[in-house]
Amino acid sequence: MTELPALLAEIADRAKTYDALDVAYVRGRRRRRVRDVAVPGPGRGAEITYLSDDARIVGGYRIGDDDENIAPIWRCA
Amino acid sequence: MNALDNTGFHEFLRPRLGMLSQIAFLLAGDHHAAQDLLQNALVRVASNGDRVSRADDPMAYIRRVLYHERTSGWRRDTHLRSERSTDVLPEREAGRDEAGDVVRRVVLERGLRRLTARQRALIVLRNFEDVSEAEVAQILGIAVGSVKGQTSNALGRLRELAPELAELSPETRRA
Repeated sequence: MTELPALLAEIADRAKTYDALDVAYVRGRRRRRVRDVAVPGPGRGAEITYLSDDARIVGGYRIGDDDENIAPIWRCA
Repeated sequence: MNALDNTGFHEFLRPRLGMLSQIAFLLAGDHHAAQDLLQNALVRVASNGDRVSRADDPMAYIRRVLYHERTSGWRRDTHLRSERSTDVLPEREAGRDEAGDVVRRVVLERGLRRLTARQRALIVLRNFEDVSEAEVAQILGIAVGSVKGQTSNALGRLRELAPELAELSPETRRA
């Protein structure tokens, strides 16, 4: 009898290692561009929308008190 | 202070990204959604850097954020629930000569996608992560007594959605 944990492990083995830290770095390098077009918000935690340097609409929120600390969290073409 | 900019935090997290990626993939169901889920969770963790550094078990805190991000994201992104991005054509059942376990794996994936985020999280926690009922209760913020019942309901729902899985052993490896 096949066990559920074994099947789940098989599925999980297909996961790539999502280097979310590097993604954050890559997006972090866009900060200067982001600051140019970011919609000003009230501060930490404020949701913002801006255009990335590849002209895609990107959303994020401030993890610091200014536009230098914006964490992009979603995107759409 | 952005914890993602903290070298120590990176050193702590990098060897654990593989495991976190596997959990995210099981919870989200496809690579794009899993990557977004993990990134969103880490951004949330980064914005609460003090909590991470104060936590007795930072990994437990990060996993808790990941599961919460999935369940709250599922509620928030209602318009995305029926959509799933993929870079390959959907697998077809007809005419395939798959080994039994491979077929069951595909059926299981499809069944998991149709569960609620909470049901999916319970199955991943209990049957993949091998987490105790007490830990599950802590991670999901529900009563210990609810874990057993809700997990049983989730497995029952999975069997309804995918009768082919009826012969699966639902036993978890830890009581």
